[in-house]
Amino acid sequence: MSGRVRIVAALVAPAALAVLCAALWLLCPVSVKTSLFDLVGDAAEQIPTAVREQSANVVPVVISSQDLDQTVRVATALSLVLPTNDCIAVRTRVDGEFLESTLDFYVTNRAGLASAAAEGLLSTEQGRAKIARLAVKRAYSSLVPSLFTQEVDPFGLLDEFVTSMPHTYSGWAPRRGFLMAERDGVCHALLVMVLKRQLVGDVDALIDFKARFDKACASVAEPGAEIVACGVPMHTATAASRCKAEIGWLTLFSALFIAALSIVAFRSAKWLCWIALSLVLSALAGSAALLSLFGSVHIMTLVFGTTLLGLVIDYAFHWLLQAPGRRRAVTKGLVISFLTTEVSLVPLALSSLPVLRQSAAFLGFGLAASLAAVLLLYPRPAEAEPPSAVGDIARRRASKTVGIVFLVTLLAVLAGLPFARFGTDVSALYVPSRDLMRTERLLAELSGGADADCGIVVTEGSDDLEELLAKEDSLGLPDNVARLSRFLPPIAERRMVADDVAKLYAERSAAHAELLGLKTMPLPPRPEPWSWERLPPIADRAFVYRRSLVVPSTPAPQCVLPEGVSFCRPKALLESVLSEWTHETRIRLCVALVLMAVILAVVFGRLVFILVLPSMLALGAVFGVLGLMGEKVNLFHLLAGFLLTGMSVDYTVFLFFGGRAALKGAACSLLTSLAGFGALVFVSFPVVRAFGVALGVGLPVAFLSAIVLGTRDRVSEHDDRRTEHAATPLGLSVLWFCYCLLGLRVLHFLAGAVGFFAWVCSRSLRHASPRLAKTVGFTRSLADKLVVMAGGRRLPRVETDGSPDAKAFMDDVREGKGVFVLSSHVGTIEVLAALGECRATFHAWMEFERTSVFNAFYLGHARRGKVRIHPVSEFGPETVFFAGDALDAGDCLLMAGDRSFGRIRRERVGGREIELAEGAFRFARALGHPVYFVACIESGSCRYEAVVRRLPSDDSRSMSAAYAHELAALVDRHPDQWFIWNG
Amino acid sequence: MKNAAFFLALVAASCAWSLVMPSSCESALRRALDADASWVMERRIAGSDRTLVSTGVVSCAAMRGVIWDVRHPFPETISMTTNSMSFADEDGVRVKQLSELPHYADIRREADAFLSGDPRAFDGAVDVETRFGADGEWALTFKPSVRQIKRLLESVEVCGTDVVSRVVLRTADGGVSTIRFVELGRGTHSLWKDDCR
Repeated sequence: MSGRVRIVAALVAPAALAVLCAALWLLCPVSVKTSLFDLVGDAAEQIPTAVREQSANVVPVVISSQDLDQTVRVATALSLVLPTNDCIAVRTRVDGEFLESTLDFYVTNRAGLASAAAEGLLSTEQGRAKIARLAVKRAYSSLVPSLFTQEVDPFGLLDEFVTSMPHTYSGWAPRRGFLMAERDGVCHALLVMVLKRQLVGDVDALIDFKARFDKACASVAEPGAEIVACGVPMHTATAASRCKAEIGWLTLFSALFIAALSIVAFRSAKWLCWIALSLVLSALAGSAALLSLFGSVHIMTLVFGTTLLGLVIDYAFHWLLQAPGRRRAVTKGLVISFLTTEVSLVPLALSSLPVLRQSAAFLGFGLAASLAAVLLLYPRPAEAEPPSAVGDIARRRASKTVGIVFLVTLLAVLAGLPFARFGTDVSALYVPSRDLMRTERLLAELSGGADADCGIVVTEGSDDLEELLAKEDSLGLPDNVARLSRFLPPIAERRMVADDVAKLYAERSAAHAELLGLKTMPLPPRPEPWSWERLPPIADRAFVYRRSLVVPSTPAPQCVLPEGVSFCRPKALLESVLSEWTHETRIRLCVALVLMAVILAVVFGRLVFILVLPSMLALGAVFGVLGLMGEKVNLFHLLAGFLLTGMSVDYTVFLFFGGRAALKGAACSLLTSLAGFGALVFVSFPVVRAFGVALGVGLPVAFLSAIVLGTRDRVSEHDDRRTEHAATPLGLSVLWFCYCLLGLRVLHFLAGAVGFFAWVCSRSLRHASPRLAKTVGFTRSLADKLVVMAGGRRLPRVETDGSPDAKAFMDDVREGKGVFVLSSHVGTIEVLAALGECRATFHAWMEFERTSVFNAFYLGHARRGKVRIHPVSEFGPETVFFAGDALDAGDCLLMAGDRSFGRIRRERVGGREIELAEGAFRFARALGHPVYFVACIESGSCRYEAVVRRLPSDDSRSMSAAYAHELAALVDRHPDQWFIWNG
Repeated sequence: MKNAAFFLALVAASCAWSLVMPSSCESALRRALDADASWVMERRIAGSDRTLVSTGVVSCAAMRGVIWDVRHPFPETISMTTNSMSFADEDGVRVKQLSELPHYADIRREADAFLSGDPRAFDGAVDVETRFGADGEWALTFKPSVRQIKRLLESVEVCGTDVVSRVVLRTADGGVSTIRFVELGRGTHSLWKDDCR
């Protein structure tokens, strides 16, 4: 794609996506969800709809003061100034129209209504006589007349029914026109605001409502009186305004950070437009995905979506900061990174939580758009030529100090793992503001709902109100539960009462009318079934939601619940759902790690251990930090673990294969990801904050682990020549730590285990060494070599073979004559320094390129040891003078004679041709000191035997011949200790 | 239930109002708080073409309670203390704890406030009209302003001179009850012989 075409495409692509989004919005506009129940998705459907809807549109307002008058005064004033319109109804008082309408309802439907006491009397003739007598007595001498006229209620049945009804609200009693409760000397008045559904669904309108409500409260506030409100709409309004603010500052912060980082990294602002292109395309693609895949979007998806800024920009940095000529490697890295991140998003996409599904879709499509933009639209590196001076960090090796500090910190953090605990508290989903929480608690306590056993009886399963009432009535709920069937007895019960009332009228109405002088006393009409449409306000205010009957109840009904009746504890239910999900997610995370390891093993072979290790360490660090903080590991930390795993693999892949050149891009990637995800730590929503904590802790650990494991220059530059692919600084440090702590035998065991697993997992190793014993022996010999060269306290035991040459060798060493040792790859010559009574310093010439990690580790500890190593690559004329001086000083020189470098001399021994380094023999002869062939052969556990042979120093030819002879004999005797792998 | 609430309110309001009354009215109400009297109640209920007449005795013991004793035509003794109310007739005794009543705590609190010297504690609950006639006659008309009580009662008129002689209750449906008192003695507590009441 030419530059001009690319620019045109860069202009057209965002426009096309924008048009697509607009079209999708017009065709299927999505709504923004805000409630807690929407957050948990399908699981919320286990909670009956009636319970979910019960308080969705109700705002309880509590006015509290120690002075009753002040409480009433403020409540009255507030009821006058509260915002009301078509969408908001304020039900403030318990008298007035509410009372009138309720009494009128009972007058209209009085047939079959009687108190429990009257029902008992009505069933017998004597009882009916008593009712009539009491009615006459009341008419004569009661100081207060009946609620109803004699024509409506001549026997006082309805009057007694109404006055015997329990309070509508548990714990709240009508007083001075309000529902009031008193607790600890404080009077509380309850006002109830009811919002229309259309208002509840409009987030902006809810925020506006809350603002007007706060203003109204402020206008009537008095010292000593407190006005607080709660309810789902207030939670939604508070959460939505917080979300908006957080989305705003997160986006601003991320955008500014990315812009600043871009300018610092490129030392120019010219790349900002390309980065902006990535962002725009990603946001549009993510939005298009949301619009097309989901009918509604939770507001937290939008908060979570801001992290896209930090993620999509990674590709741009990797691409723009790549070294010239590495386009192919970077492209491969980007694709692998994209795939691993997408794989890590799959569990989120399959999650039961809509927010996580939506976020996964948004991020997944956004990342795809970003990758496409980078690969297809961005200028090619040759054209871009990012300044070569940029990012000195890329050229700097991670300093040893930083590495040690990181390792110590990591160990300290991992020490928190035993303290990590899994938690399933519902607060992992949502934590309301302190004020709202306090108000909810107060309301629950005043209403008797603070009991842990408190739940809600829901009667549903039919559209027939009478059927629901009959079901509810059959539950045998305690008297203190103000169920609807006590206010509206079912038709069967009313018919029975009506039959008894008919008998009462038949038996007593004439006499009653005569006694009281009444002209007419018509029998009440037959009871009719209750209908939803004619219910009084008391019913839909307290009991009826979506044609289901809802009753707060403590304790649970004791009987077997009939079909369509359920006892629900929403909090307990949510916690059990979270517990189940947490358990499943733990298993899924383990499975995902194994799957990812398998995929990486297929692609990268044995390197899978290196590639997966940062992910494991990052996960361990996250759990450890949470354990140290005393915070429980919840579902969302685990879900963040999927993302963390994918991103950790990204770093390792980039750093391992990109080497030094990729460090710059990876560092920028880390910073942008931290800016995106790390900032989530400051978000108020626990779900999103859990992701922030997990990724904020895990990503730096993964990045630094990847550096420690694989960004050394020689790892990338001399990778082909290295013979120690499995050796890592961290691995050696761990082994050294185990050695210092547990001793040489444990080190042997661990080294043997490493050898075993390496042999099992590596096909190339099995090919080079078909015998497992040889590999295990080699790794154990490496362990011995490590502790001797690094000057460990517990060394393997080394003894000479007792030959005359050995005695001469020891005498020469003790006398400080200076001996030249021609070693070989049979056994482990480095342990010679552990030879008893040998105090000489050993100088060894070794290849550094092939064993860079090991040697680097050794160099870090060399001050304690007696072995000084010199790179064979630096062998030169000055080496002759150095070696002569060292020998004259009584030191020992070690040089391998069987290494094939420089001029090769071939010696044939017993049908076997051995390649020898001719220079070594010439050098040994030229120095004029005694020359020995020495090989340290492992003779037992932690024991070596030094086989010593004096070599003739007449000429180098005879010397090499004798060397070859001794070497061949040793190889024949100890084939498993001939550790030469390359020839 | 509502009887007790209403009665307490009435008594409390009377007591409280007396604190700010002209002296004759105030002394008559104070006297009524600790007096025994016979009474005759004539009631006209809505829809009835006759007057229902009942008689009895009432005994008030200040800060202790009231016993409303109906003698004719249906004997019943209603004893009301600060905590409970009992109904005794030929069917036995029924006791109702006043603390269970929804408005009782409210009324009790306000009554206590009045009796403790707060003349405005009942403000907003009742409207009061005062009339004075010849020979030291006076009449207080209480009109409830709380809607629940309004549905039960339109007004309560208390009349008297140096003693309370008549109370007229008018209901919202047009019924009228007139109670005439004849004082039998002061501080005798004739109906309070049984301390267990």
